[in-house]
Formats: sequence, structure tokens, C-alpha cells
Amino acid sequence: MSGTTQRNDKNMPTIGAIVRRPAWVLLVLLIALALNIGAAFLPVSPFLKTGFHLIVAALTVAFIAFIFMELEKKGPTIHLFAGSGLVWIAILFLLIFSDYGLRP
Amino acid sequence: MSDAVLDKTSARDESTFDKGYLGAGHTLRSWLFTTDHKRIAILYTLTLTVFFFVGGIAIALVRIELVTPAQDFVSADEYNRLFTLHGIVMVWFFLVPSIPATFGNFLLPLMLGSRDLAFPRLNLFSWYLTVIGGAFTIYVLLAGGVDTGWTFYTPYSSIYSNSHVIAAATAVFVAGFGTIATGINFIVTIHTMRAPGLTWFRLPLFVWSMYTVSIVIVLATPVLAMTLTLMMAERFLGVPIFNASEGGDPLLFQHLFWFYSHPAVYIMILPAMGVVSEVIPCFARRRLFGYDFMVYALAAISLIGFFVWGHHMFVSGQSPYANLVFSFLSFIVAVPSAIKVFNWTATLYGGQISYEAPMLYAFGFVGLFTIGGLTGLFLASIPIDVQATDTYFVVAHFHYVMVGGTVSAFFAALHFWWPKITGRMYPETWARFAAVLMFFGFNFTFFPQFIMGWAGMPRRYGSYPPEFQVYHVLSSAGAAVLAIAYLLPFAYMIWSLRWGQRAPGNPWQATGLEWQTPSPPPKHNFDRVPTVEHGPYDYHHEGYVDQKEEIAGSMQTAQTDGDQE
Amino acid sequence: MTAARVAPVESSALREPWKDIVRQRQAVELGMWAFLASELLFFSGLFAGYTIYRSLYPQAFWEAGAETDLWYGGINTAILLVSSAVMAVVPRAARWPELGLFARTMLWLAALLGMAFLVLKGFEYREDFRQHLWPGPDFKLRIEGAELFFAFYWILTSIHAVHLIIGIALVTRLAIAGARDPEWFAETPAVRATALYWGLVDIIWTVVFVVIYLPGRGG
Repeated sequence: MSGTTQRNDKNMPTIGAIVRRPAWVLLVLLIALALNIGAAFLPVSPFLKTGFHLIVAALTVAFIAFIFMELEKKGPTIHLFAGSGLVWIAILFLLIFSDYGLRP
Repeated sequence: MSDAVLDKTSARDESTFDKGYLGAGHTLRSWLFTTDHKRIAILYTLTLTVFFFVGGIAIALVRIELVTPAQDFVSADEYNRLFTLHGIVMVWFFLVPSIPATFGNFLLPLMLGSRDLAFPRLNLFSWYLTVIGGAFTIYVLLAGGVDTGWTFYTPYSSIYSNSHVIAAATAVFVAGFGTIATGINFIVTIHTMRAPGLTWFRLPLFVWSMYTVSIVIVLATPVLAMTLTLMMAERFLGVPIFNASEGGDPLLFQHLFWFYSHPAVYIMILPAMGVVSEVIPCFARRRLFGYDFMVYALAAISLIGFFVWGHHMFVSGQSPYANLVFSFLSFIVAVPSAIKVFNWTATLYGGQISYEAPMLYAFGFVGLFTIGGLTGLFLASIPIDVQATDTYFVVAHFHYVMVGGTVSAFFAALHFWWPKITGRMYPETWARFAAVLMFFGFNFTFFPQFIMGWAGMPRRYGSYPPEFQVYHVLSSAGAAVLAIAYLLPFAYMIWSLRWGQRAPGNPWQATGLEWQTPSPPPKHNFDRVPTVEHGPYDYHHEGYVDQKEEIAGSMQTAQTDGDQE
Repeated sequence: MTAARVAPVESSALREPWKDIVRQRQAVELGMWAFLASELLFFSGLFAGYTIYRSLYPQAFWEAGAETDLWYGGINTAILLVSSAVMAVVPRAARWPELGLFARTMLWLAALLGMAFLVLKGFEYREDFRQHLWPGPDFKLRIEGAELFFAFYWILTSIHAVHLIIGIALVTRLAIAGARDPEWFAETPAVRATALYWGLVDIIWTVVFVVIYLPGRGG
């Protein structure tokens, strides 16, 4: 957040510098999407395929959150709040499956 | 916000309505479009008071019906709608927003030494969401009611009920987002707007309770919103979600519902704990015992509160192994609650206790909450719960927590901060009388319910076998006493606005930043941003001391606020 | 934070009760992340329901997944990914008044991509109705549980679409208000808040795509 109020042209990035990183990440994500779709047609067990899909999705989400939404640059408090969403989802899934997973 | 139109009170410089934030405008516009957290708190208080009485009237009719064993005062269908209305209104339009939206709104910036909440316009927006939700509820009431019970269990709510389920669920949905907005506002305010020197472990416990409750609100309420959305989708669009005939599972609704609604109990009780933690040290003139542990206990309750929802479903047909897990976790959550009760008690030890009305209400809270909590342990135990499920034992248990606990604390807060909010003192004798009457009336109403519940009287029935009549008559008579105890403060508080003694800035010689500004506080809260140099509850840290010496000495002597014994 | 600031620029985005725009921006960002956590929990209820039913009816979900249109789903996923990359540029550029126009152009581009998504979604819905994929008496598949899959399909995608519509409205509003007052645009926390919201909408879709469109492919 430093320097937000400075009007010094020397610090101002070029458009190319701003665009470069998101563009590279976008390329990676589009390739990942293609891989994910391609993997869906492989003749392997649904379990493996679904696992792979979810891993790719998780990586995509991580890229969006950390790079596009700039979570990488944030302090511990915001990391905590972003993480709390995931932790509470984990609580929901874990305990709800203590019923559905353990039904006799 | 034009002040061009002044009402008659402005002619007299005596009026409390000309002081501080209350004098910042007398037009309706100056209230309905205010972004001042103190005025929004007043708006909330008025709204919630209306709903408290709506819910109260509904249950009064239920209690009248239950005086006789036969179904003779209202029809069975009307009876269902009455207790449903009571539940929905009391849970979502009184208890959940009660202390946070009123006292939290008013006090949080004052306790933090800031000018307002972080997002004042969002704060006003939350109130409007609550009002819109309330309007839906009023619509439900006028259109003929809803008969699902406050829990909206499927498939009854989503397929079979012939009542206004969609409107009622929408009401809860909209009001829920109002609460979420308040929660986010509180979290950000506490993180970013603390006065210089006000570190996390110098925060008053009321602020901590607002922080933990906000986290619970922000993380639990959206799940309720989605659950109700799914239920409404099944009812309105006909897509199968919970419908067993299409392969769906009605228990899924219960899981998702209680994922919110059990933490919702903590949404109701955590702020009450915060209030009591302010009141007891003040009237015991004693530093709060075990401040750090009180903070950790709040955090632990709000976290573990998410792990126990399955104890509402012991007899629903969920996995018996899941029952074991949830039973065990439910016992665990009692530990931090017990820590809090013991610490309040220990705070009293050696204190110079005085019995002003807020303290009486706080004592009421501790006693009733303890009974409510201990009976909760009974119900966490599966064999006992199987016997007691859907009986009046459960009804009595959660009323001891929610009414004996939260409502007592609400009245403790109302009396404790009334001088700060209005600039007037309430009449002490009347208030003490009302506090004692409320405690008496509460036990009179709900203790018989423990007994008849244990004997097998099921909840939600308008007619019952005659052998239960004695308990029902006792309970209904107690409810009448309780009603008087609720109406009394309503009357003398209004009286005090005009005739009450003028309140000084700090009538209780309490610590805390909110007492360092005039009563009622100016619009901008503090003329000078306060600086904090020591922890909260800067009363005597050992016990008895001559009161005069103590007040004078609170500046210098009690600065040692390290670890407790 | 003690560096000298140009007062008029500050005041155009500064709101009560803040005295410092940097602090205000941090507060909005924290509030936004708390809101995003809340939104995640909102959708988690749906995903939990989906997961439970999928574990109960794996075969039905597999067959039903194959009925969704992977072309629409795949292209829409790509569109949203591009739009998030475009949106990621906005807060990085918007704080420099010289790049304000560029940032606003990117906002319009993101909004257009969002609308393209919705248009494709509309065509997809029409196709789904034609194929009798709305749960009910005419439903295409007979296997028990397939209707549950499509119940989740409709609810997940439509609630996501509602979020996207809100996102498009926020982005458009920001672009218009920013063009009207470029000074405000350079300072306001609304830029980052809007970008964060847009990111969340894409994150949700990433998961929706995987659970709705990919099952049942390749036999």
C-alpha cells in the first residue's frame, strides 16, 4: 500500500508492466482448464478423474486469489479472514460427513 | 439533515433531547437517514422493542390456550401459527440482533474511542434490511401466519404446509444479511479503529464479545441463507432437494439449518456474557477475575459452538456414530462456559458489592444461565436426550439460556447504559423491583416446564392430558408475572426520559472509555481522542477498599494489570 | 502515512469517520475479505448438499453430468478467467491518474465479458429446457438421483448468475462514476472492493464448472 498517494511519474509502472503478470497467469490458467477438460475424457476411474479435477480447480482458485486478487501482498489479518472461510467449510464438510459417512 | 424544524422540547433547555447526539436534529429525516451509530442504535432499539412485544403477544395467546387441557381458546392450526410466529420473531427479530445491534452499535465506537463504526452507511443499510425483513414478517402475520415452527423443517415447509412459508423465510433471509453487514462492520471497526494505546488485551470484554459474535455471525448466517434458499427453491420451483420421494434427504436440511442455528445460540449468548462482564466488575468494585481466560473462553465458545450442531438431531435418524461425536463435542463446549461462570463468581469474591438494578439483572443472568447450561449437559447426553427430545424440558432449557440469559443481560445493559444513552437516570427502586420480579416471574414460568417436560409433556401441542394442567397453569401464571416485569421497565424508562434525574458522565464510577464522555455523548463521541494507558476494569484488583480512595486512586494505583492469580 | 498528501484528492474519496484514506482503504479491504469468507460459506451449503447426494448416487450424478453442455460450460469458464485477469489489472492501474482511462477501459471489458457469459448461459438454459433437463414429470433421465443433480445444476448456476449480475452492475457503476470524477477514481477503495468481488465470482465458478460439467465425460 506504500506510495499510493505519491504522484511521482518515476514510480508509475507502464501498462506493459502491469499487464505482464496477470497475462502470464491467465495463460497458465487457460492451459490448466484445457488439461482439466481433456482429463475428463481419459479412460480412467471416475474417482481419479474427479480427484484430478478438484486439484486443478484448487490450484486455479489459489492463482486467482493470490495473484489476481493480490492475496500474496496482504498481511496476516487478511490471510486469516480469507483462510477462515476455508476452515469453516472444512468444519461443515467434516461434521456433516460424520453422519453421512458413518451411517450403518 | 436540516434542523429547521424543531419540536417543542427544544424550547426548554432542560430536555435531554437537546443534548449531545440527541440534539443533533429533531426531524424524522435526521433519524431515518442518520449515519450516527448512536442514532442507528436507537432505531434498532425501537424496532426490536416492537418485535419483542409482537413475539410476546403471540406467546401470551399460547399460554392462555394452555391453561386448560382442551383445545378451546384457539384452533390447533392457529396455535401452530402462534408458536411459530413467537419463535421466528423472538429468534431473528429480537434475540439475534438484540444486544449487538442496539448496545453493540451504541457502545462499540465509544468503547474503542472512535467517532463511529468503520462503515456508517453500511450500518444504516443493515437497519433497513432488518426493517424490510420485519415488514415481511408483519406481512406473514397479517396474511394468516406460518405453521412450520421456527425451524422450517422440510419436507413439511417445502412441500406440505399451506401457510406463508416463502414470505417468512424471505423475512429471515433478508434480516440475516442485515446481521451479516453488522458483523462485518464490527469486525472491521475493532481491527482498525481502536484508540491509541488500546491494544487487543486492553479491550473491554464487551468488545471481545462483539468481536467473537461478529465472526460467528459472518461465518454461520450465510449457511442459513442458503438453507432457506434451497427450501424455498423446492417449494416455489418444485426442484427436488430435500424431498425423499425424489431421493433427497430431509436430514440434509436439518444439518445445514443447525450448522447456523446452533451457533446462533452463541450469537445470542456471547453478547450477554460481554454485558455481564462489564456490569459485575463495576458493581463489585473489583477487577474482573481472569481477564485473559475470559477472552480465550469467548473465542473457544464461538469456535466449538460450530462443532456441536448434531445434538439437535439425536433422534432424527442420523448415524449413531455421529451422535457419539456430537455428544462428546457438546460436553466440551460446556468447559469454556463454566470458566466464565466461575470467573464472574470469583470477581465477586472480596468485592464491595452494591445491588443496583444492572447488578441484579446480571446476577439473574449468572444463575439462570447456569441452570440453562447445566440442563444443556443433560441434553448433550444421548440417553437422556432421547427421553427429553421435543418435550417441555428442552423448551425450558433453551428459555433459561435465551430468555433467562440473554434477555436478563439485555435488561442489565439497558439499565447500566441508560444514563449514557439518554442522559437520564432510571428510577432505581422501580428498577430493582422489576429486576427481582423478572427473576421470579421467569422461574415461575419455566421451572414447571422442566418438571412437566421430564414427565413427558411434548412441546408444540395445544391440548394435553389433564395431569399436566397444574404445571401449565403455574407456567401461564408465571408468564403473566413475567409480562408485568417486562412492561414495568417500558413504563419507567419512558418516564425517566422526561422526569428522570440528570445523569452525569460517569454515574457508576465505571472504567471504560464510554464513561469518559458526557451523557448523552456528543455526535462525534469524544471532544479529544482518548489515549489508553492500562487494561480494562481498573477497579481495585484485590478486593475491598474504601470507595472514595478507590475512585481517586483508580488513576494511579491500579495500573498493575499483569497476569492474575 | 505521515507523508504529505494533496488534500483535495484525499477528500474526494474520504468518507466519515476516516481521517486517512490509506486507513480507509485497508478497512474496506478487510471488510471485503470478511464478506468473501461469508460468501464462501453461503455457497458451501450448496456444495455440501451436492457432495452428499453425489456420494449417495454416484452413478446418477455421472450420467446426469454427461447431459450438461461442455461447450457452453468450457467457453464460459474461459471467458470468466479472462475477465478476472482483466479485472486484476484494474486496481494496479487505477491508482495512477494517468492510467485511469486504461483502468476504466479494462472495467468495461470485464463487464462485457461478464455479459457475454450471461448471454451464453441464456442460450445454454434454453437448450437445457428443450432437452427436458428441468426436474419434473417430463425429466429426461429416469435414474434416481439425476433430478437431484439437475436441481443443483439450476440452483448453483442461477445463484452464481445473480452474483455475476451484481458484479456487472458494480463494475459498470465504478466505470461510470470513475469517468465522472477521475480524482475520486484514483483514490477510492471501491476499485479494489469491486475487483475482489469479481474474483470471488470467478472462484465460485471454477468449482461449479468442475463439479457440474466434468463428471460423466468419456464414458
